Amino acid sequence: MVTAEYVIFVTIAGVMLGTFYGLATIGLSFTFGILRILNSGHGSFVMIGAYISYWCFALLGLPPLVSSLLAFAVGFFMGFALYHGLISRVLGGPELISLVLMFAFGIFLQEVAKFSWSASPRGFTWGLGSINIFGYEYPLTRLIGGVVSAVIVLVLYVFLFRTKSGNAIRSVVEDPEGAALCGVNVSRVYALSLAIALGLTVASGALSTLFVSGGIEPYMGDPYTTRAFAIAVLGGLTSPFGSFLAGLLFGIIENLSYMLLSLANVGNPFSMTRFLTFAMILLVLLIRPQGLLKR
Amino acid sequence: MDIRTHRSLIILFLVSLILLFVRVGIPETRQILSILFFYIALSEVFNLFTGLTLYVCFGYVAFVALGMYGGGATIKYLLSASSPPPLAVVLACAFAVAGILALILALAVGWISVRLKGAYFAIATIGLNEGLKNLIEGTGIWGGSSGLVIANDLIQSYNYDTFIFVTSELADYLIFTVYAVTILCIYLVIKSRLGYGLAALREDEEAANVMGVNVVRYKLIVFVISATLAGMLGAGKMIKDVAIYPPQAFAVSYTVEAIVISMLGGLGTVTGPVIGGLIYGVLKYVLTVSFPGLQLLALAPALMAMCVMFPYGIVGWLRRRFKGSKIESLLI
Repeated sequence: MVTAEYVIFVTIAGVMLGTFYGLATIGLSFTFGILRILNSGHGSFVMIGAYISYWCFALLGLPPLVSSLLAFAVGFFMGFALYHGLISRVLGGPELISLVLMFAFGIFLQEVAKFSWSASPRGFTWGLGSINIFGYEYPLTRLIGGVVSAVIVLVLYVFLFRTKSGNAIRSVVEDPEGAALCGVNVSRVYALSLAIALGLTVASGALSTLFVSGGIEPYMGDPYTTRAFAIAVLGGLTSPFGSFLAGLLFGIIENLSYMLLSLANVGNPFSMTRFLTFAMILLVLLIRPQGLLKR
Repeated sequence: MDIRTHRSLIILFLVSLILLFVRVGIPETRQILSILFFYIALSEVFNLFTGLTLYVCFGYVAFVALGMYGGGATIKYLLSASSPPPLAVVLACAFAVAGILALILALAVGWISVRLKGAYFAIATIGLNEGLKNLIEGTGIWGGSSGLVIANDLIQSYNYDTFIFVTSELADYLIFTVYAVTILCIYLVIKSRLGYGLAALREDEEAANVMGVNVVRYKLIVFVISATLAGMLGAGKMIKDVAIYPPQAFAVSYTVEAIVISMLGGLGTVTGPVIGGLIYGVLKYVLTVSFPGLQLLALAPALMAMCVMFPYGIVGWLRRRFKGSKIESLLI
């Protein structure tokens, strides 16, 4: 039986999940908006973050909140290394090359994870209990995950609009050549942007363990890739904050559609939700290729 | 018609026929050559779209998997009748259904996605594989997550010897036929008006569009041809494997392998995938024997290195090396 309270509860849960999805997607649109490179291996960076969170908890007893900072640092470093090692060599070349390069890098991360930590799923529980929303139990960790995601996005906003480096990044988005003429080191901005983008993505992977406590395995990133693409397309692909809002929307849609699919009893709702994600990408690209949230 | 204008194609067919005769004549080469046939065919089919347009579809393996399912389901359905039709009819129907299903999917996905440019196309199609897999698992069609097995149907309807012949001999020749047809298709496309339009598109899509090349239609045509052939290749693979399970059928490694072979040999060339496939097939055979399960770990860095240092592949490099000489004209 579906009551109004239940729908509200599902929506609130969707908002929390949505802020997390927003954070998990921001890195993708950040990279595409600034470097014009589509990170086709996006999900693998989420997976690395989840493993960092797992090992920090299992070995050191650190909760995901702390390990997300470490995850950000790891992603940040990876971004710099990746930019100077590979990306800078293919910038400006055919789009196909950078797409294949990032795809191959994603596969490489998956295989390294599988080689080092085996393919069997792992998980851990950071038991904090749950709170009561309209008579339904909601795990406290998810609430924390949603709020922390929102805070991180706020920090990014302040960085982009209130600091000198942030202004440099925004000027490169507007016009790379013009920015270079005004004395902005465009190559440094590219490296910094990729580092921030991957840092955020890996950090979101660490926070993902607050929502799904199990199922940490090398290929867990693939659904995140599809999802992030759907969200980024909804938000117009090049705008990080558009992606965040689209993520919020997507979290609500996903939760509600899961609820409806379970009620309608058409097949396995878990798989069907994932199929609908793909169908949604095509639909949005068909109707509004510039994104739902852009004018 | 002057036969010399097509001599490069004729040489390629002769080389392929030699491989086929080796396969027929020396039973010991069966295992490695059937791997080779499959991978060369897979990358020729992939190359037909990606090589000619420089658009990459990461969900490509979905068409092969759909062909496997379509072919398998057709065989299962026809053999469930009280008096099964002759083998040739069953196999022909399997190939036809596989091709038609892949064609329909390609039209549906392609109609939307080829309107998009570059990275947007990749976004539209990267979920294709995952989407189809989840649709099959979610709705439970074609056996859902427990897979589709046709081995028993074949053995019961015919006999064990026929079953062995079909799976270990005939399937290879069918895959070889798909490979030959694909080579012919790419060759014809490259030499046609369509091929020149696509060459213009690869150089500069906007300019080609302005000059009157209907880029959307051209992309859609090669996408659909390529997907249909991929579906038929899937039917061949189904007849060879006689079973399909979602995790293996939709494995991303097929897409990676197709990209690796095409790029190693040379994107957009007819000879490239054959050369790349020969090298890769032998390497894979050696690697699977000595390091089982680690092939993707080795493949991914190799692909990254190729992107950065060697984006034109072997054929591209040879063409530059022998520019203007007779060898260049042979490297189609």
